[in-house]
Amino acid sequence: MGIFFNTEKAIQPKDLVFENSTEAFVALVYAAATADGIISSNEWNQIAGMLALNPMFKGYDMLDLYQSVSDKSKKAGGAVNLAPTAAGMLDEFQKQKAFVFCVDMVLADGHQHEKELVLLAELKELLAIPSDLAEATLLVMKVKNGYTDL
Amino acid sequence: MLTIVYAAAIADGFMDPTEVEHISGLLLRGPVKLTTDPTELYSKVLSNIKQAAGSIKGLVAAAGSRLSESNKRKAFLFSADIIMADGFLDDKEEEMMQELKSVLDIDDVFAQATRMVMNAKNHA
Repeated sequence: MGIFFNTEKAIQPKDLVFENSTEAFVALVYAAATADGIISSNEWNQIAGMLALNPMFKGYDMLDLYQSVSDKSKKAGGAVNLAPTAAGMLDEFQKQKAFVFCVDMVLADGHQHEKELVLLAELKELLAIPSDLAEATLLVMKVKNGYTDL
Repeated sequence: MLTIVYAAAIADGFMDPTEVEHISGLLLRGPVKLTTDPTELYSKVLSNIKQAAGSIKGLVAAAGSRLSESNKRKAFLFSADIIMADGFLDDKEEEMMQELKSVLDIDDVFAQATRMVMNAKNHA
């Protein structure tokens, strides 16, 4: 069992159903954002802005998506409990895209904490990300977020 | 940095709505730290681009020479994000990617990593 993402199917929310893979994608990113603590509304606004720019969300009402994910999160006892089911609804490309967004978000504060390393390793496993893409994502997002220990 | 990213956005001859939104995002959420009025900064960038019509590569080189090593890498990755924002890379955009890599002195490892990540991020 992971520290952040519980992969034991037996205690997954039984009636958790996402409308589609787009909603599942938002749920996964939200779960990663809140996995090691609580994010501020300002941080979530930044994430929401990044998501809204992606072609994947063209034609979607983002506010409806966020509200729906937020409701499911409360019902499931926390966003992290949404992650395994959400990951299962994504195809290979959506998983890779989600991983890129999650790494960017986790590294956004410019400091890498031990818990964040564990979180990223669990995400890599949960989303079945190839090692070369995982390493490339870590490098690129560290540069983007101003890390100097490259 | 904004001049380079803007030049990258028009590499294929026009700027589509997705690219406009990306540039607006850079202004609103960083990494471009605004020390001047955004409208003024944007006007200056547009003016530079117009003056450099026909020699965009020279303008990018001049802008790149003003950046630190870390900001050159940031400029490259943000440019790549915009160039690949529509999920496609046509011949002109490919040429711009190569030009940016050369002008900004980006090593092969970082260039390849950036392509891989932006391809995953912007896949339709």
